[in-house]
Amino acid sequence: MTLSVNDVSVVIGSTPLLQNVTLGLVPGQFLGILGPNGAGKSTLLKVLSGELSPSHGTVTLDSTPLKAWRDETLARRRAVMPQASQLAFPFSARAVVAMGRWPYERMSSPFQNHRIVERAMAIADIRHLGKRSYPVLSGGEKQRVQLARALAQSFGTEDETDSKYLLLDEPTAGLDIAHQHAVLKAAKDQSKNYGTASMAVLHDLNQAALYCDQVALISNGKLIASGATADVMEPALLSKVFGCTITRQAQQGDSPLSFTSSL
Amino acid sequence: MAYLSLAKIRRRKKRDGASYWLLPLLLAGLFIAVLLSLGIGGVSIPPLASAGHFFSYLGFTVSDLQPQEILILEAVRLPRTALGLAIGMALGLSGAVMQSLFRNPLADPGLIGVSSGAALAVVCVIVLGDTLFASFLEATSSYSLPLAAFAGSLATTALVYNLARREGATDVAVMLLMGIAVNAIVGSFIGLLTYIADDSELRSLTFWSMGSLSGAGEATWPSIGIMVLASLLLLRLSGPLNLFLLGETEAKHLGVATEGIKRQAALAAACATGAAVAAAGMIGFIGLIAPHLARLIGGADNRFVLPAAALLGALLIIIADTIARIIVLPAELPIGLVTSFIGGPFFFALLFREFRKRRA
Repeated sequence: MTLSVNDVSVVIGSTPLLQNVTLGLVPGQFLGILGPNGAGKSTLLKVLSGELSPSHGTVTLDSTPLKAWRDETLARRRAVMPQASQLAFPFSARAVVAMGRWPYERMSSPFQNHRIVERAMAIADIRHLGKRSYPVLSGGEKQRVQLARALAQSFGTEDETDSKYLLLDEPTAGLDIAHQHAVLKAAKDQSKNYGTASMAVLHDLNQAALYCDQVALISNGKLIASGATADVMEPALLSKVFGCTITRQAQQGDSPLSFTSSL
Repeated sequence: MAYLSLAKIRRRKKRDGASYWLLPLLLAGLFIAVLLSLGIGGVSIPPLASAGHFFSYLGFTVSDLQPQEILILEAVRLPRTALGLAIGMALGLSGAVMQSLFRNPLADPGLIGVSSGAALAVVCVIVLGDTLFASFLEATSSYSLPLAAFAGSLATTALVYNLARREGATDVAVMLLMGIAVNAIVGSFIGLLTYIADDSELRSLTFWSMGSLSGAGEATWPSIGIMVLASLLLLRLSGPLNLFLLGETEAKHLGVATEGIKRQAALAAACATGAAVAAAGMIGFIGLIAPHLARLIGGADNRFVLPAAALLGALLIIIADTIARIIVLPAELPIGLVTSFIGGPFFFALLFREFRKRRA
């Protein structure tokens, strides 16, 4: 019962973007994808979302190939928050969030949709932006509207039992520090409270250590390591992958892992 | 006064989000415009009298029109109005759909070759009709120009659409570029044929390219039928097209079968516009302005914009045709001239308004 890639390779032209990656998203867990620029993190997310078909290997949801799923059914199982979304037409922020309810248009009542949109907007802290026109929002505000849209999509309906998948492509990019934490907390809560399998492409090691249950480390299109956060985030391994000196502070009691880096 | 009411409408829009309540108003406005337009011309008929005349068929009232007036109303102006309504609806809707599909507020069906294809086919028939296409002219007689225009627009759109296909997927950005390239090539053929045309051929070509509703009558019924059917199909796409505005990938992630929507939108818009061009020649600017006007009064939600663009397109055509009919009595001006003449300055106004808003 997972969304997983098995032995997946992606080759565009003659450039390999991903090589023999095997990875699964587990319901109830928040997976962080770490790796240097150009490592293939976003490519992996695109393969998992079905946007990109792998050149080799399979992508499956509940053991069924992603390709065999109907777009509409798939949309009720996984939501994607894109890196940047261009929308030139003057929709209100609320209308953009409400688009996340499209897959459930015929399944849940307008009242329920309205409540879920409100909840998603509250989590993303954009309730005060509801009536503003999306194109004139700042970059960070647009990001949060997109987050709320993805959340509204992944809330589904009340009587659903199938696990949901929430894929976030660099959700913290362009956000102030408070909202970075808010976004990651939202993804973690989604996993903890609703059994959603969340996944986020991240750059900040400390944030990954603080919020993620699992971490996958990618470099040059290859999966270097994956597993529980504390096991994967070894200073020696991180230093090698990122090509700089990364040290981990000694842990005291329950405090989260904390890293410092220098060239 | 008009400005004041527009401001009031905008406040209202902000308060309750959806603007569907404007649609019945637009419909009522269109109804009034039609009644007025039916009465205006060489012989003027009071709008109430023509309304009374139509209701007399239902047995509500007694018609007090003269037989000659009834003839003008039913045989001349009514078919013309019906054709105008269908064309305005088809052009406004196609424009709105194309703008959503390409996520570009300046897109219109012409971008994917609808107009140039129709023009090339018509030029072929007019210039080469007596030599190369003699048998086609014989077989189709009075339908030859509309048939050629319709086939030409469909063929060019299909060409552009297929050129933009890569491994079963159509990239709208590629479609736009392919459209530009195809339009350029088709344009050169039109130029070549225009170059070798003689004086009378040039004259009919020019008139065709300026558009006119004067061909209204039995010969345009098939066109009206196609426009109505294609418009109904386009209206059904309003929900998915909203998501298209977010981006094609995002739409797919939200469960929209994007390839199907693209195919349906391109095909139906080509049919609607192709049929409009076939019935009345080139009528510019409606496809661009009607959707903009709709967004201006009611916001960007396609579930409002599409029907509103259809109604506004029809309204604009009715107004333009009324002007075209009476401004140089007893002759009439090609309607394409009127729409461009009103449309150009209007577009300026739209742009300046947009600039002002950006500076604020």
